[in-house]
Amino acid sequence: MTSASFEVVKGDHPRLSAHGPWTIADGVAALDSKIRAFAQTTLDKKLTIDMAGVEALDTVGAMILQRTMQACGGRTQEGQPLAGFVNVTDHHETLLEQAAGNLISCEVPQRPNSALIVLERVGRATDDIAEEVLNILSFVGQVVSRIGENIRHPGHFRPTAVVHHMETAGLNALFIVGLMSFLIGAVVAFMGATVLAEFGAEVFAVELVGISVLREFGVLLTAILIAGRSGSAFTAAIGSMKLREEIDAMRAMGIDPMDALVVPRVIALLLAVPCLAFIASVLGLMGGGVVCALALDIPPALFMARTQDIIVIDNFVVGMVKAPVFGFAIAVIGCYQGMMVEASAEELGRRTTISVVQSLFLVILADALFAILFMELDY
Amino acid sequence: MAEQKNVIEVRDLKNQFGKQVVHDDLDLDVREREILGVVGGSGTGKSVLLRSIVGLQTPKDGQIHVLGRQIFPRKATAREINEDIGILFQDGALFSSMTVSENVMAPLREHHPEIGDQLAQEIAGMKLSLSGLSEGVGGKMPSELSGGMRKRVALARAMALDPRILFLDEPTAGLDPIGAARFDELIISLKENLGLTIFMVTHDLDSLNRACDRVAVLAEKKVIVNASLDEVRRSNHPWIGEYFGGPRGRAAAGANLASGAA
Repeated sequence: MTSASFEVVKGDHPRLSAHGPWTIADGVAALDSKIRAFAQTTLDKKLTIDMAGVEALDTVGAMILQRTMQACGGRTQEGQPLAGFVNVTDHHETLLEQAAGNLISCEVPQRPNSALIVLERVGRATDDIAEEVLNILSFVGQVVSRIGENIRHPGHFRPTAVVHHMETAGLNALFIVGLMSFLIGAVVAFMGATVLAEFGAEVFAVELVGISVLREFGVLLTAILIAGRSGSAFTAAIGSMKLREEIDAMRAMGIDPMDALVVPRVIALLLAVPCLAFIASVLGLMGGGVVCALALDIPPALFMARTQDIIVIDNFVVGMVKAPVFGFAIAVIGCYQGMMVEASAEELGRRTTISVVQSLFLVILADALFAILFMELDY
Repeated sequence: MAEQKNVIEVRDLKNQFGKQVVHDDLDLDVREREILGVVGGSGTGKSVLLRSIVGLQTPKDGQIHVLGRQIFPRKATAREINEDIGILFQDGALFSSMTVSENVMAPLREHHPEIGDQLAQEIAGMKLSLSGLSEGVGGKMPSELSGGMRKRVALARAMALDPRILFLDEPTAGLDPIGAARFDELIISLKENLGLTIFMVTHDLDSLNRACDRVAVLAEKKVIVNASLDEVRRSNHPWIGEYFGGPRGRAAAGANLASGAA
């Protein structure tokens, strides 16, 4: 199969003879740089293009020829015969005329200095973070005020939705949360006992498990799992509703999407996370107890007794107080990011990722702040 | 007129989803350089037929030839066919993460990696201009465009490789009458200037009147008529009577007569 080619005569009367099939399928694109270089040498001279050898022509071939002609000042006026082309068939003439009317010159933009790009991105990112923080705070304000409104006018409240979200975000997560907590409790007991055995203080593994599981692990693991599992689901669900204009439809019907979508999810997590955290704590203790009984020769009765004596109720309270705060943070971030989805499916994916990252960050930040608070309070 | 060559030949096509048979022994010919309008009630499998022909849907049985290549049972590779056909999906199906010109350049770059940046940009610019879009559109994201503009961009992308057959899935749905009429004109001029064959699924009676050379009517799991619009109108099948004889059908036909007389 032949491919597109051309030969040129340079000088005061430049002439370009095109041969073969001038179509993109037959490699006309590969000629582009050579033709461009030729056009540079013939600026302002009267170019003739001989089409006698052209077997086939498509829009790309026509465009390249027409562009070369125009670069040399040969403009085809509308309604006039093609200037500068010779031996043109009727069909090729149509294509060449059409190309003349739709020729668009585009310069490939110069890339700016990469150091500047980095600087610009840093600046933009900083600005975006500041704006996002403000937006989230304002969203929290809206959620709280809507919850207040729901309490004043219980007619707006949607108990069915709350129960539904408690089931999907809470009850359905029970198994995985419990299992994880049980395993972590067991690991803490085992690792702790190994180290403590060097000091002959194996029995303190009970305290280690009790304090770490009740104060931190039970609730923190629950929050992390729920953030990954339900926070992202909230963003995806609300975001895709936003994309399909469902939220606009609600507004048009006079349904406040805050009441219908956000408040039920927030309340559901506010209630579900403490329940899950409680179960996680109990299972974490059981995990520790099982390891103590099987591997460390601390019988369950002793484990129970030490737990009751030494692990005062304070540790449990400290853990549980954090749970609703974490639940609130996860739900608010999930819903906020969902409501911020605009325009495209790609944005939905991006927002879902951001939602998980932000809620994990907030959960751990809140945990650190709680730790400082309780330290100051001497709990 | 001399007998024209068939560019698409569908024989004994059978499509089935679960127990629901969509097509049964369906035959269809599309001739070179014609605009074929495919009509049919909802659920008669117009889009399924289109998807079967372009190879996106594997039929249960039958034979499909496009441009002499056997699409089903599959012999030609997808890549061979893809260079010769362009598809305009119903809602454009533009890649949302790319700008408008990148969308048009995507098939070019995929099939012709040797293409230079500047040439690719120029080609994209020309195709967008051919589709009736102004120069500033190229840098925008698809989400910033109106529905009509998205269709035009999708048309530019479908034409990126200078295909020989263009498949359009309801190209004028969702456009205002002026935009739809312009789209019809655009398709006609593309057919005449570039020698395209166009396979168009449509519900738009004005489009059928204005643009289509022949009309294929899908009903009872088959193509019941495939002929010029006048012949189709004369058919005494009840569905066709209802479709073209209803108030909208008569209005569109009347408008066409009036413009033809003027």
